[in-house]
Amino acid sequence: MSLPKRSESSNSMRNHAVSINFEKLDDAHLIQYFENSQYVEDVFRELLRRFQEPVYIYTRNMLSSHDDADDATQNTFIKVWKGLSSFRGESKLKTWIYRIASNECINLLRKKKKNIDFDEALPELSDYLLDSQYISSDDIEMKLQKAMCYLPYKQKLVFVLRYFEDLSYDDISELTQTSVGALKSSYHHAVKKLEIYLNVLR
Amino acid sequence: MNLETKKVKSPFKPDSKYMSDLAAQVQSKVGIEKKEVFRKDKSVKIPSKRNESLQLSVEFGFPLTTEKSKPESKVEDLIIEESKEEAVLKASVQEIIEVTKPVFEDFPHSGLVLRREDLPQIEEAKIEEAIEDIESEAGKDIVQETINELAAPIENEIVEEIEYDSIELDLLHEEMEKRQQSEVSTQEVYDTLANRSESSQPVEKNTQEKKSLSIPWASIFGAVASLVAVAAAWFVWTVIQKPMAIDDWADQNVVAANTPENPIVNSTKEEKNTSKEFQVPSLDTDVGLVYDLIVDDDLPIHKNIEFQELSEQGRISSVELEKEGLMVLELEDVIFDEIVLAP
Repeated sequence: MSLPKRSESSNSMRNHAVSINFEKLDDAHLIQYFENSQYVEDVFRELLRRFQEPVYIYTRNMLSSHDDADDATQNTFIKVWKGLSSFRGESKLKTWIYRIASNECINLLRKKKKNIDFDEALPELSDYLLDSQYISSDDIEMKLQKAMCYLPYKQKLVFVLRYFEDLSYDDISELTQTSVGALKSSYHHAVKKLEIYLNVLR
Repeated sequence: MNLETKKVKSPFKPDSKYMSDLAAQVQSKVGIEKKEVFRKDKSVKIPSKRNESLQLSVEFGFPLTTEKSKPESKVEDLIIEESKEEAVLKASVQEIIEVTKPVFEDFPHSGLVLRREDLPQIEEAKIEEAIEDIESEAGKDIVQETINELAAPIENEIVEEIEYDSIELDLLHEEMEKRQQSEVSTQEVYDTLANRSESSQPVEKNTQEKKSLSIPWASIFGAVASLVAVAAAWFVWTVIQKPMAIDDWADQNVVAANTPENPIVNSTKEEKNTSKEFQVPSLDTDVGLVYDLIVDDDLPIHKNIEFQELSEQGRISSVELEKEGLMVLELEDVIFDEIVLAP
């Protein structure tokens, strides 16, 4: 899908103060209004409306803690606001925001634990699952979350982006700067480990 | 569990209030005006008061509305309404009274109204005229008669006895006879019905007797089946698996435990330890010496009685074992016959 270039349409729209229903625009067309100072606030609010909840759930999946997810979500959107003008539309809007969110998660974990190795699992994150804020009581869902804490962080990242967020391998490849083959392998290993873990937990 | 086939959702479900609060925080942090980002659910509220009118349509400027169900009028309200009417009526009557000309006039609201001043005179005049007219027609003093009637005591009414003619009596008799006949006929009908119901019972008895005379196949089959069951039980009891008495069973088990089994595999040390649990009285004394030597951790000590029971080869062997320090023979403690060792 070819994204429309922002420079083509932004100048033509700059002089027209027309109320636009941003909710009806898709991501690719919403990008066109990023540079327009007249609409930028409304555009940002529209981004919040579309992505705030998914980003919170994504960061919560990665960090398990509600407070950390809250911080990560806020920081993500502050950075989105700052980066709106510099966003060129070269990648998908969703991929861009998820990349910022992923980096925020890593930053938060680095602050908490120095010399952290993301090739290893972070089982201590499972302690945060006891925090019952905004958690459903579904047993299997909770077991999966607990199992995910025993995956190496990189595998967990791939698994969450693919399994929960339904991102394509190409998008994840763009987000993580990893080859699609490596991602597929990583996802496959993650799924197998989780299945074994879930069967053991039963 | 297959994660690929069964999609498990994320358990994290933030509510809309938290999301709107978070959006407000983000907006304030980035320095833009706070606005509600998430639409609130506009749920249609059903009016709780059913008495309120509901507009159904708007046509030609006249909204058609359902009628309000009016609350029941209270007694006080009714009294107030009546007093209002009375007040209006009184006022109108007062107006009419002020008018002097007509005695009777057609009042638009309340019909004919008399002037209050003239009313007693009119009534008296009319009554006197009416009495005079009646007295002149009847030739009596009506007033006096009515006074007498009212003053007279009230007598009980006496019902006159009816006198019947002979023809009427005949008709009554005929009617009585008819009724008696009809009663008799109904009684007969009841009797016949009762007789029929009684007569049907012996018929059933006869059919039962007939049935009892026929061959009782069911009972025969039952008896045969019970016999077969008894025979099968006897067969099982005696031939197939004869039950064993408890003593016999115990003896058999003891014998089975004491009979040595030929080991298929060389016995391990554990097996030897377990075999120690079984005391083997039937072993030869010679073998017993070696057995004790193998099994016991301590040196086996043997008395002369056991020694005397040994064979010649056993005695030689035991002496050799004692020489090697593998066995103790406490022969000198007891009285024994002289042991003759082979040269």
